[in-house]
Amino acid sequence: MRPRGQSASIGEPVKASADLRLITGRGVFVDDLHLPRMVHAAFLRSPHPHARILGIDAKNAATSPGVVAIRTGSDLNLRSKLMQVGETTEASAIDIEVLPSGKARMVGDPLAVVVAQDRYLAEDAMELIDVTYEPLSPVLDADVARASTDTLVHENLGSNVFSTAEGGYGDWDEAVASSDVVVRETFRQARCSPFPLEGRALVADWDPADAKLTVWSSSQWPHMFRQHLSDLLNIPLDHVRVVTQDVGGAFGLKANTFREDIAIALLAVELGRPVKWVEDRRENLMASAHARDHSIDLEIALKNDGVILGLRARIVDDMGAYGLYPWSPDSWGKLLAVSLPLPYKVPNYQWEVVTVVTNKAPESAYRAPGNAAGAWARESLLDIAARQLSLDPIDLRRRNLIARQDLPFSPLGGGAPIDAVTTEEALEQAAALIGYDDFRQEQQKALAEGRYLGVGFGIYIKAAGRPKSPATVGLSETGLESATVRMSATGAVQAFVGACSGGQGYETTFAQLVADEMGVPVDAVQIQMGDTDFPAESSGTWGSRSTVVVGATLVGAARDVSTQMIAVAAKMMEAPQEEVALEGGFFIAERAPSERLSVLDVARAAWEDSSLAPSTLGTGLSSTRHYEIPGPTYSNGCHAAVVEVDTETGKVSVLRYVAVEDCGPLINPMIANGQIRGAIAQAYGSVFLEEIVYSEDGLPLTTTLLDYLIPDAASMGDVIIKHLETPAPGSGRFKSLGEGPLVASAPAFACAVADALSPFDARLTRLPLKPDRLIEATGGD
Amino acid sequence: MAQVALRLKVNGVEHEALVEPRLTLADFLRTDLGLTGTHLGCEHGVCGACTVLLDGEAVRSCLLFAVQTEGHEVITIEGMAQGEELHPIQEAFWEQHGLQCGFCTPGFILSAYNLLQENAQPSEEEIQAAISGNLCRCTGYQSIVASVKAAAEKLQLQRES
Repeated sequence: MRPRGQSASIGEPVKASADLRLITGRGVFVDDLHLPRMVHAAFLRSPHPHARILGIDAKNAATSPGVVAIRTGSDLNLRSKLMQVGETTEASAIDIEVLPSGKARMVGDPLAVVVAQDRYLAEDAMELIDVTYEPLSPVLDADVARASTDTLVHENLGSNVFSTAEGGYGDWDEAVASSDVVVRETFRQARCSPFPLEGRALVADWDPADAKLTVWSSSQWPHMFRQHLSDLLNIPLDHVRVVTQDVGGAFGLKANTFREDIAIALLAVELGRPVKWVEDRRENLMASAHARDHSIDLEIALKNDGVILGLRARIVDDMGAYGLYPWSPDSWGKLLAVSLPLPYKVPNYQWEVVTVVTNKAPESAYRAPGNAAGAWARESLLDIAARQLSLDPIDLRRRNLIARQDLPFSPLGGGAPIDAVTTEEALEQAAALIGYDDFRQEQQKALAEGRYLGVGFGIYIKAAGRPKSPATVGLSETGLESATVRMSATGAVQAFVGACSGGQGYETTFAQLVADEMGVPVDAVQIQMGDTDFPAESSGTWGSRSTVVVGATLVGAARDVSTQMIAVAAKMMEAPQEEVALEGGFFIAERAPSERLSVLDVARAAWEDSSLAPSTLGTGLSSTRHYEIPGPTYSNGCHAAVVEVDTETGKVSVLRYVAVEDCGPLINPMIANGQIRGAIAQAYGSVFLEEIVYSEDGLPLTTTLLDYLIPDAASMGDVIIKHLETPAPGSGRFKSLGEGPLVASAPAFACAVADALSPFDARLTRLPLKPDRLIEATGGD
Repeated sequence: MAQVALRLKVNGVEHEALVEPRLTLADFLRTDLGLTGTHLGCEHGVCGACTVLLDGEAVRSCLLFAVQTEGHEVITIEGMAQGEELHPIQEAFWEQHGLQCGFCTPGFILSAYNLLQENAQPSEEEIQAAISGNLCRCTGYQSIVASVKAAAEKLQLQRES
C-alpha cells in the first residue's frame, strides 16, 4: 500500500476494465439472457393516435402456435396500482393504466400483450388479434391542443393543459422600464429521441417458493425500479430484486418505469416462469418516449452597453399523451425555465411553463433535459441582441457572466451557492483556441470569396449531485446513495455501489477512486454494481450525479477500511496506531521497521481472528457510508465552433471545434473525453439532424433509422478539448461531466450557423437546422 | 412452420441445424448458437450492430436469413480473439477506449476488420466513410476512428515482423 493521499491512478488514462468483455462479445445485455422455461412477449399497439377501444377479440390468436398467454388491460389493470403522475398544487394527477382499456391516446399505445415460445410466434399471434376502434380526432399541435376543449386527451383534466406553472424573481416590468432595448424571439426545439442503441429490455421471473420477483432490466436506476415494482404490485421491497448488467446506452430514457415493465412483471408472477420483452427499434422510436418538445418564447431586456437587466420566458411544453412514472410531466419544462438564467447574472427573471397534453408519445428526460434546449435559445437570443446593439457577442457575454469576483454566487432564484466555477477562463480559453481574434478577418475574407463562415459559443454552469430530487419518490426526502467497501480475507477490495453504468466507465473510475484512497493497485479493486441485493442503495444514474455522489461516498467508505486496517496492523504489531504507516505495500511500525506486515497478512488476520476486530461491533474490514454532502457541485464549460455553410446545398461543415471544460480534477481523462465527445455528437444530432415527425393525422413518420437520423462517423471531425480542473469545495472534490458539454455544444453549433448566415439576416429559430431550412433562411429555394 | 436443414461454419466450427426459413442469421447466431456478442440495434439494416463476416465480407446479419448461409463461413465477434490473445483491432479499441456502452462495438470491430482487409493504411476520411454504416450513440466516433487507425498500425507492424 502507498501512503494515503498519494494518487497513483487518479488523472491517469487507465484502460476501462469493462471494455475487455465488450470488445470480445462477452458483455451481458438483457437480450443475451436465456433462462430455462423462458417465454417471450410482444405488445399489440394502437395504429390510431386517438380512438375508443370498443372490443379486443383474441380468440383466433389464442390458438396460434406457441402461444402461452394473451392479456389485455381488463386482465392486468386491477392487479397493479395505477401509475399516478403529476399531482401537484398546479395540476391534477394522470392515472396511467398498465394497458389502456377505454381509449388509445397515441400511436403505439400498448393494448394487449402476447406471450409465446419465441418472439416470432408471439408476433404471429399478435396479428390475429382483432381490435374494434372508434377513431377520434387527435390533437397534435400544442397550441391547438391548448385552445381546444372539444377534443380532450384525458377527460378528467377538463382541458388539454396539464399545468401552468409560474415563477421567477425580481421585477420584469421594472427591468423593461430601465432598459434601452428588449429583444424577443420564439425558439422551437424539435421533438427528438434519446435513442440508446439498446432499447428498453427486461426479463422478469417469479419464484413462488421464496415469493420473490427478480427482474433483469436495462436500467439507469435499479433501486428506484425495485421501489416502483414493490409499490405498484404490492410486493414487499425485500421480495423484489432488480439486476442491471450491461446497459446499451440510456441517456434518460431508462430512468422511467414504463407500463410495459409492469405488464411483463405481472405476467411473470402469473405464469411462474421467466418472461422476456425486448423492444424493437420501431417500438422504441414510436412508443417508448420522446424528448425536448419545447417552444421557448424568450425576451431579454438590456442596456445599450449589453448589461442584462431582465429575462422573461414563456415556455410551452408538449408532454405527449401521458407522463412517465414517477416523474411529473411538467418536470422538464420547469427545469428548462429554472436553468435559463445560468451562467449569467440576470437580476430580474419571470417565467411561465404551460405543459400541454397531445396524442403523441410521452416526454422523457434526455441528457441535460431542459438545460440543452434552454441554452440554445438563450445563447441564440444573446447573439441576436449583440447584433442589434452592435456589440461583440463575446463582450456581451463577458459583461454578464457570473465571474470569479461574484463567487460564491447565490442564485437569485434560490438554490445552493455557486462556487469554484471558471466561466471567464473557459470563455477566454475557448476564444483563444478557436482563434476568435483573427476570425472576423477570416470570415470577411471568406465572404469576399462567396463562402459563409460563422463562429458560435455556448456557455454553461450545471449543478449535479443534489441530494433531493423528484425521483426519490417513496424514498427519504434527502435522496439516497450508499456504498460499501470491504477488504476480503484474500486481500482483494470489493466496492458495492448502487449506480450502474451505461457506458460511463464507472467500473474503472470508481475503482481508481477506491484504489488511490486505499493505496492498492486499480486492478485489486472490483466494483460491484447493478444488483439491488448488493449492500448499496441508490437513487440511480441520472442528472450527472454518479461521480459526484457515488464518488464521494465510496472515498469515505474506502478511507474507513484503510483506518480499520491500520488499527488491525497496530494491534498485530503491538504498536500505537499513530505509529503505524503504510509504505511500499507493507504496514511498518515506527519503532521496529523490520517487522512488517503485508496487506494480505492484515486482511486475513482481520477476518480470521476476532480478537483483532477493529471495532467492538464485528469482525472484518468493511464500511458502508451514505452520501452526506449537503448541496450540489457546479461544473462549467465553454464550447466554440467555426462552421461553413454552403448556401447552395444547405450543407454545414464544422471547420473547428473547441471544448473547454471544468469538471474538477479528472479521474480518467480518456473516459472524461469520451463523455465530452459523445455529448457533442448528441448536440450535433439535435441541432442538425434529429426530429421526430408526426403526420397531420397523428401517425409517426420517423419509425426507422432511415427516417430518424443520428450522427455518423462522417458527421464531423475531431474536437480540441481543454480541461480546467478546479476542485469543488467540500469533501467531494469531483464535479459532473455527463450533461454539461451537451448544454454548451448545442448553442455553439447553432450560433455558428446563425453567424455564418448573418449577411442574410437569417432567422434560425427552429431546430434541426436541416439543409432545406437553411436554404429557405437565406432566401433560396 | 417447416424446418430446413442448415450446415455452415461459424468461427471455425461446423454446425448442423434445423431452422425455419424465416429465422434471421442474427437470431440463429444469438439464440441457436448462443453467440450473443452479435447485437441487434435496429433489425432493418441501418445501425450495423449485427455486422458479422460472411466468407470474409462484412454483412448485416439482421438482413440475412440463416438458410442463406448454407455452406458458407461466418465469423462473429467471438471468433476474433485467438483464445486469450486479442485481435489487434480489439487491442486497439481497448487502448483507445473506442467504445462506451459497448452495444455497437462488435459491429464496429467487424466493419473495421473488413476495411483493413481491403485497405491496410486508410486515411482518416476513408475510415470515417468505411464505418459510417455503423451507428454509435455514446462516443462521438473520434475514439473509434482513432482505434481503427491504431489497429492499422498494429497490423502493419505485425506484417513487418
